[in-house]
Amino acid sequence: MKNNQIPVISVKDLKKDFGNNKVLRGVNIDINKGDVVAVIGPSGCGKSTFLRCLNLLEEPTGGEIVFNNSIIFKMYCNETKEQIKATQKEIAFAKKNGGDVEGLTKKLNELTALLASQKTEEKQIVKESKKNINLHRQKIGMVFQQFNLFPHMTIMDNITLAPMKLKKMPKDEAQLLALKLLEKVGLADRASDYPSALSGGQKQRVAIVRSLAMEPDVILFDEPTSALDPEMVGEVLNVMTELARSGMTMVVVTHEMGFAREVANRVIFIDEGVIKEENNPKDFFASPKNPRLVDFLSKVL
Amino acid sequence: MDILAQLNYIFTVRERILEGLGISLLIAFVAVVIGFVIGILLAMVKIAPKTNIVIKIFDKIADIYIAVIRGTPMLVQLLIMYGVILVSLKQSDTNLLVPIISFGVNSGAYMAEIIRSGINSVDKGQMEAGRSLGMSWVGTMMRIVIPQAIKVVIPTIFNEIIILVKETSVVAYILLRVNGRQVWDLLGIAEKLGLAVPGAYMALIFTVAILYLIIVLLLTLIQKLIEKGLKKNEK
Repeated sequence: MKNNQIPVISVKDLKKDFGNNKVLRGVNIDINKGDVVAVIGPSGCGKSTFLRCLNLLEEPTGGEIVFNNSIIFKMYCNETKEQIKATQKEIAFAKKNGGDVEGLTKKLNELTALLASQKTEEKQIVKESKKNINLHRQKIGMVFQQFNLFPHMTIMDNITLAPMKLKKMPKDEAQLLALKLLEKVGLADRASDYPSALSGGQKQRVAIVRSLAMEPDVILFDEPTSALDPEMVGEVLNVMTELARSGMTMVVVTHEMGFAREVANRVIFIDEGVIKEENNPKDFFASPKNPRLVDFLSKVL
Repeated sequence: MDILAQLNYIFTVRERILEGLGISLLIAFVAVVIGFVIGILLAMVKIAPKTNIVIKIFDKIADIYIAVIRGTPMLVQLLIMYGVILVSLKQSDTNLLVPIISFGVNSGAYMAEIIRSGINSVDKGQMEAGRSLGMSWVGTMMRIVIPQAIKVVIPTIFNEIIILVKETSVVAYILLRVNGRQVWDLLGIAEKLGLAVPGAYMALIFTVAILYLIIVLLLTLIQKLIEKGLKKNEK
């Protein structure tokens, strides 16, 4: 599905630390319009963190994210800082034991100058991004493992809240849209119920509708079936399959290998904070190359 | 004074007692509203991510405010407000704003901690869901998180309201005026009337006790009704 248009989301060298714990160590991927990307990997590998970085629910510590041609995150100064520290150590070592002190000092000066320019540029980007992030998020839907429906509102209000408040859509128009979308997932008759009256599978279908109501360019799914009873997984996957067929761009963190194989057009394997392997689903499952992936697949298939 | 004479006396001064009750309730309920608003604002400051210097300064101010208010007796705060901080209000024809502000400011510190605990009890996925739809932090707080937090803290909030209603009885320590005329709160007027007629004092104090008890029972009833209404909403 290669084409010449700009990617919906472009991720360069994405890094995320939690203190000393380096969860993401440099993830690179372009997600194009219409892509359905399945993200798999062992637990704790950083796949959920990767997904949550895409809409900045988690603030990355390095790299760059471009959404619809606008930079929503860019930070390379942390790396430069580390390089400066390393160079300073090298200089100290060179001074003691003899070495190219002059060359290293030149390098250090260059790095210091780079850091200064990066800091000014990135400060500006962060400022801009903070201003616009709410607008970007309107175009990046997200579906959570725990559904996160608003328990104090009816299904209808859950769906119409964001379109009405953020897009200033008139109430009747928003309700019409909600009913149309609910119809598609077979829940139009539950519009006036509260979330607590619904089963897990129904809740997740409503959560998908809630993000669809904002007419997003891409939807991020964070293990959407992991909290469901086995007999309810199917109904949610059906809705997602339907959505994929309609051309929605989707990034899906999942343990459902069947979905990855049948519905996704790209499968990526994240392990130790990087993408270890990426392929079309057929080759990905038929002939995995990375030994960690081979090992992982042998455990889950 | 026998019991009949005492009852008769209370009956003849009933209007003045009821006026005292009205003053007490007016002070208490406006103060509750002020306290609630201050409480929500302070709780939000305490909960907000400390990303910039402005919010950090507000956070420190909130800390100091809560520490000072909770660390000193209500009566002392009232006397300081009356004697130093709100002097111009105190001298006006109607100076009920002095106790109203004092009790409101006091209640705000307690409400802040109550509401903060309520906000913390709401699943953080709710904030994430709101933010991921594109809503602002404050918008998500107001529409999604705080309505759920309030539901959790209704019993504790009513506890605070009940304490506040009874605590307003210390207002008898300061001089109150409405349109230039001196007025008393419930306990204040009862003491005055009780001391005016020999042998009537305890009867009036008991009357005060019964009236407060009735008010608190009514509040408890309202609390039950609200809790019932909120529960119905959920199912």
